[in-house]
Amino acid sequence: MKQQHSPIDGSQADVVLAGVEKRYGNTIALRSMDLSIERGELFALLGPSGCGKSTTLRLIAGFEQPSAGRVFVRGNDVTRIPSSKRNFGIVFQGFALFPHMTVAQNVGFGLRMRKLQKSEMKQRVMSALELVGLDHLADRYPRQLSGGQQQRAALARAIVIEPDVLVLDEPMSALDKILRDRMQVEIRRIQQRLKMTTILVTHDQEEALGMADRVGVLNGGRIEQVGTPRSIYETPRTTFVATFLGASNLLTGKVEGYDGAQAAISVAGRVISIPRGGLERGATVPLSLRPEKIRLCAHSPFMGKVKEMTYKGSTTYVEVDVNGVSFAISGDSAQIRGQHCEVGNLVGLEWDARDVVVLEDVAS
Amino acid sequence: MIPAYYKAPRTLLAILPLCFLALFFLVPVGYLFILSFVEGNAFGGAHWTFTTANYTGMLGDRFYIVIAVRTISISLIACVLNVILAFPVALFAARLQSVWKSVFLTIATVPLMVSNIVRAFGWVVILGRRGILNSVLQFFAPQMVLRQHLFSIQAICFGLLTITLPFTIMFLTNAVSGIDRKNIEAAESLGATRWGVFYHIILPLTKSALASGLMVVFFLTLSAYVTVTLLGGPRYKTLVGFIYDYSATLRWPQAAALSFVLLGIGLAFAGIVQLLVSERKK
Ligand SMILES: Nc1ncnc2c1ncn2[C@@H]1O[C@H](COP(=O)(O)OP(=O)(O)OP(=O)(O)O)[C@@H](O)[C@H]1O
Ligand SMILES: [Mg+2]
Repeated sequence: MKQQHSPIDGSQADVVLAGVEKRYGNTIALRSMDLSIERGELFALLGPSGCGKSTTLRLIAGFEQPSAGRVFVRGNDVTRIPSSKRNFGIVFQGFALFPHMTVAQNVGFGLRMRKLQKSEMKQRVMSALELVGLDHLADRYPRQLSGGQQQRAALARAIVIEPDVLVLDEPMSALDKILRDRMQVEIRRIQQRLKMTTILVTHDQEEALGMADRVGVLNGGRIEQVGTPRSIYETPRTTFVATFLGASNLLTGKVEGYDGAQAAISVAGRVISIPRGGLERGATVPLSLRPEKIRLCAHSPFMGKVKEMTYKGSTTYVEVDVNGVSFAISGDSAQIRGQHCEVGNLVGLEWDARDVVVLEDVAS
Repeated sequence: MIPAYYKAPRTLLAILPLCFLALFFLVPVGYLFILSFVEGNAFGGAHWTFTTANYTGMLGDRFYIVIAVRTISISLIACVLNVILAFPVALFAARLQSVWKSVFLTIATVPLMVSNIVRAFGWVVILGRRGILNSVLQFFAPQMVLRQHLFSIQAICFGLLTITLPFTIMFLTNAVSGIDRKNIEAAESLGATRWGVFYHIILPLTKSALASGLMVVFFLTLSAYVTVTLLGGPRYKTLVGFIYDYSATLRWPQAAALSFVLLGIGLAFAGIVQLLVSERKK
């Protein structure tokens, strides 16, 4: 299992940001960010457009200097070290292959800058190209490659220098859906084979959840939550995280009291109990409940009228109104059909108590 | 598909300027070409008998060879100085925001808005015997005061730079601006030093603009007359000066032959530059 450690301590982690801030004039792109990325893990930075993903990446890669805070790599302070001395492999958004060089020359560039012997260079370029399955196109120019091939070339160029850290900035955004899925698997395979510490920047939550060991969700220049894909998806801490990682029912509950370790919370005129302490009696709390965690049944305290049904192949999407509160449900089409679920019918809703997550912020 | 009724006028529109060029450029040049192979007479006319003497006379004469070498040297020096001076400016200007870049490029081209003659006189004012340069030197470094800073190859090169630098700066600034910033960052992240980035990325990606710039510089300096005459003095002549002298004395066939020598030098330079530029393409 992953162990906890303080973010300032750079001993176990490969990359550590300690109180890093970035301002552009009056705009604050990053607010006091603490982050530590462990050796060999694939860490995804996930967030919407303009949240500061690229900025974080540029600070880590050394293209930009933080306004405050420090950056550590393997325990060394690299805050003032230029990118040319950091030994990072970077796959840029849009790939940024050198247009005047062949694939082999592109991949060999980093080795050439390191003044390697010709023979060793050639051999390492070829094995990197083989790794990404591009050895047969070594003499092509970037413009003669498809999007997927360009991406492989960019990946080979980044990993051939055996970087301390591999950094990928929205590597899939230029690819179509099918290719994207394939490259996600492939990049993950290569990353695990080389056991390379990797930072992936993306705004695609499926990509982040599917590829990463851990995900950091970024919003408005702030890290909102860091955790494994499962923990982030199933126990989001804030409204933003809950909604950004997929559809969610955002409910408002009122803390009625405690029954042992169970908090009694009223939602849509009914009381549910949630295994959770530390809530103030009488307080209003935001709750998140994933649509796929709700099941339809014949009898339940939560009875409501079906307002809308959308058939989506293997799953069906249902909207049910309970006492004026709307619940979105998505479930297996066959199972939903079995519950006599039709628009206008009365159905019951049920879920496991632990699937209701109490959020920390106030829903806005 | 372009409809046929649209195609016809397009062809026409292309033919008209071509006719214009043919009439007012090719015909006189063709005439000059013929003229360069006939014997001249003393009255500005020609005996229409074929001869290559106008060319062979020059090629056999050491004096003309010296002048030709001097002419080419001045142009080459201008080219080298242009590259050395324009590249840093372009690298700086390319990083400006677009508004400031426009302002900067406009300012850089202001010298072109001033007539050649006025501009050359500007240099005379500075470099002349009682010029600004000597006044300043008088004050700081009296041993460097010369009777004359004018009438030297340095003065000519200075003068030619004011005409040519705006062009190279413009060409190179646009070319450098066209380079994707990420390409430069990619090179840096792969370990390239500043010089490495310049040599391996910026230079190859701007070489066709550089070639265009160099050709403009070479042609402009090769055919510069006013600047060379005013700053080089009456006795420091380049090939163009002789063309002027020949035509002033109505020796048309010699003037024509010399013009074609000049054209040949220009084309040879263009050929070499293009060869160098396309060398590494496959
Ligand atoms: N050079 C700059 N000057 C001024 N503001 C900037 C600059 N670069 C980024 N910003 C601002 O900083 C914030 C974060 O930008 P950043 O590029 O990191 O976003 P991002 O998360 O990468 O977004 P996207 O997904 O659209 O690429 C934005 O509000 C942006 O406007
Ligand atoms: Mg970005």
